[in-house]
Amino acid sequence: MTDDLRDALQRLLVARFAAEADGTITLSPSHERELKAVLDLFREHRQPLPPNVRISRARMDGIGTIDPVAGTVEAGAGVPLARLEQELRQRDLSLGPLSPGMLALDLASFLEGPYAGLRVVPGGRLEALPLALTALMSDGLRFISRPSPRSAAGPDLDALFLGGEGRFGWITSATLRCFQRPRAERTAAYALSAPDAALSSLRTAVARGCWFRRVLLQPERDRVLLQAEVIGPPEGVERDLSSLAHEVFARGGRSQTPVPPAAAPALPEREVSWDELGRGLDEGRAATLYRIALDTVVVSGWTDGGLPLGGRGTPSDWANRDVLQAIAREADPLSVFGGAQ
Amino acid sequence: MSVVPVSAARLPPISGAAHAAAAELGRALKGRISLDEQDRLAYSRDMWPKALLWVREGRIPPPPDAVVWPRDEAEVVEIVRIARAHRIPLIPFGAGSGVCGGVLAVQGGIAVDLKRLERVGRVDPESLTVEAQAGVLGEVLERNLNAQGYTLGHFPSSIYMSTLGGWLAARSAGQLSSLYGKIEDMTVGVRAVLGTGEVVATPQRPRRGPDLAQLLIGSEGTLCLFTAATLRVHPYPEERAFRGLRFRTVAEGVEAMRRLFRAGLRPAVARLYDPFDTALVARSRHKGPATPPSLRGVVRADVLPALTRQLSARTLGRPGWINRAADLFRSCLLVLMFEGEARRTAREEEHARALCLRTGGEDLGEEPARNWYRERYAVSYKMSKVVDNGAFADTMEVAATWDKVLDVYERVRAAVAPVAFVVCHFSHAYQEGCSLYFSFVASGSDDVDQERRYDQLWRTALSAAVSAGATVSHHHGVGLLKQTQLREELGEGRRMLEALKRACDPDGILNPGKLTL
Repeated sequence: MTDDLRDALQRLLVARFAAEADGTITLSPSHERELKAVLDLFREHRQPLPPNVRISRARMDGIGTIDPVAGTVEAGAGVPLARLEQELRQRDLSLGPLSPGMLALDLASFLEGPYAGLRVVPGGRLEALPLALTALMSDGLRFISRPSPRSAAGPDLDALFLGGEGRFGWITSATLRCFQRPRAERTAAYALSAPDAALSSLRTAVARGCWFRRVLLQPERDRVLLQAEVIGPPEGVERDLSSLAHEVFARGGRSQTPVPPAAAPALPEREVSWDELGRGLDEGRAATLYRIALDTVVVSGWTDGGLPLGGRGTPSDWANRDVLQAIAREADPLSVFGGAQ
Repeated sequence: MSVVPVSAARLPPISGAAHAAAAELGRALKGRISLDEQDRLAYSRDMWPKALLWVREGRIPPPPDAVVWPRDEAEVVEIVRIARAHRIPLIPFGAGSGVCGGVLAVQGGIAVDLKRLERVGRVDPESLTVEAQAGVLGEVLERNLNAQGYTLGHFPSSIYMSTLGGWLAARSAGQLSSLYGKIEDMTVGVRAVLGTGEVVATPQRPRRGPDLAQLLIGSEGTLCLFTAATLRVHPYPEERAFRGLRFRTVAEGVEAMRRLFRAGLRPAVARLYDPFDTALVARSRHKGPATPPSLRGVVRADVLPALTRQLSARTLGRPGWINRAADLFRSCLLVLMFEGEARRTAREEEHARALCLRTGGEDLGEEPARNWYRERYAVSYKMSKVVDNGAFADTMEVAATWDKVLDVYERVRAAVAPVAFVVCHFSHAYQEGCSLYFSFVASGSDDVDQERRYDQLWRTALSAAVSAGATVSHHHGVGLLKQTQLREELGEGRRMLEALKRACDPDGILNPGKLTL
């Protein structure tokens, strides 16, 4: 970053420009207009965002309209998900069963990072948490998608920003889908003879519509313990427990007394396939599962395998990297967002 | 765009570039190419009602220069290579069931019929996925899955005449989308050939980065040609439960639907017919099916032939009269269907019924819903008969969040009432909102007046819907029909769509003139 640009950023942000001894610079604009001004400066100086500069949207942490009719909330990019969930619960709404790792993030990090803003819905499908997004594009113009439950108005352009690590633009706010606040939670525990049986029971129950907050899988010498925390409306929880029990018993499992659930520590999380989860159980590794979808699950505490969900990645790690980088070059020809590295 | 008189019995001449490309394509595809007028004519349109009006007037939509029939992905790659070399457009073609003019060859070019890519793989019982090629017809795919003990859960009313690739191109929805989702929800990954000729395959999770599949699905042939997809399947349902309920007003019915979905219930079908649609259903009850799937079914079976015979064109030309008469009706019919695991299905239906009764509903028993299910595909055909009768009909499907649904309904009805007879049903419901499916019937004094009214109708209706907060399409796509409103909806964000286009199709050969590109 040139001195000219650095000076201009300091003048713009004053106290919200923080330079550390190790050379790291954190820019903390207070609102979208200021963020746009930051972006404009990089563009005017024809410089990409250097690796040592971090754009913090922590100050853009407003919670806007909470609409109980549609079940949506408007939230700024910097709002911590844990705080948002607290606010929503007071209005009888919820973001759904998020993992400790997700709840530790702000909205922008959850949407743009490796979690890609995905939550699981009953039936086991992964679905984007935002119904609509507002983002700043590289030319400073605003990308605004229309809140709609589904659309066939061309490709889903929100997908560029979800998991996009800020390479296509910076999310400034989003309209998020909320569930009704789960009014019931029950824990059920079972013992099954083998990991295969446990995973098959669980996956089938998910496909049937069971909705889990968390599932613990503990392989022991001659059996696997499965403990599931089921959430939802009271009648829904009863249905889900019945379905899960049916699947477990059909595979020769037996009921167990649940162990009181411990508070979940914020351990590193990884997204793993069901195959990989099965291999881990076969090796005797216990697993605490969140976001239990038909595609993948989020495992807390594993240090290898799957996709690490902490921190940020780079486009060089992306699937379909060549095409996505070509799109990034077209969307950001001056490489303001770091370009297509 | 030029519309050619059929009476001239002459299609636009085949371009020089097309002739040059045809020779190469013929060699690459071992002769599976046609420049015959009949084939060009057959591939000149889809089921867009405006194109039907043109045909009635003796005109045809702009045809392609040629039609090709690739048999595998390698041949699709070769077609793209040749088209790039000759700078000639390619128009991917499934089964032609689109209703927005998405396949019209507005700049000429080659129609690429993908129906010979029709293989369906074995279901993986562990991951509950199947890979299928893009040209397979919907009904063939579903029957194949049923024979293996599964269902895709995707049942568009066009299922007999639409392909997997067409579904992907238009972000299609089936009648059971509330449970199984739209095609973009059930797609785990896609294979496609970009306009660069590059083959892309989007991997299953876990993976890093944006989901390229969601950027290609809905691109209506402007970014890629789909060749295959990996789809989520479900065990064939053990049981279905049906329920019909009557509500005193649209508002009450919509509120019941909203509460159902907000409560976490997951009916496969929830369709609320507005009062006049409900009244039409009641009129036809003694004749057979009590609950047609949409106005189009009623139009086909009962109403329009009778209207066009018994009412003068002049009456249909003044739809305000009929719309005011429709205001006399009040009550609405809600059709519910649940399916899946037996133990859950019955319980969910019981909860849904109780919730509807608490919201003011009156239980009509199972029969209205069972009738709907029996007749669920009795739509989408014989639209031309409507046109033959001297009128035109069309449908508009938009979507909105629950807080806006009633406003969209009222505004569209008010805006369209002077132009067309209009009814609506609410379906494809989700936790956050639903689709509103409007059906229009109108007439004009002559062909020119009809086309003028048709354009006026769409401008008016979409403008009203969008200004009330709806998206321009829930599942029919954009085509030629909704480009103006799509441009408005995208606003400055259209830059990202243009960036996608330049990256995926730098020569602009894929279905030019669509999606505002």
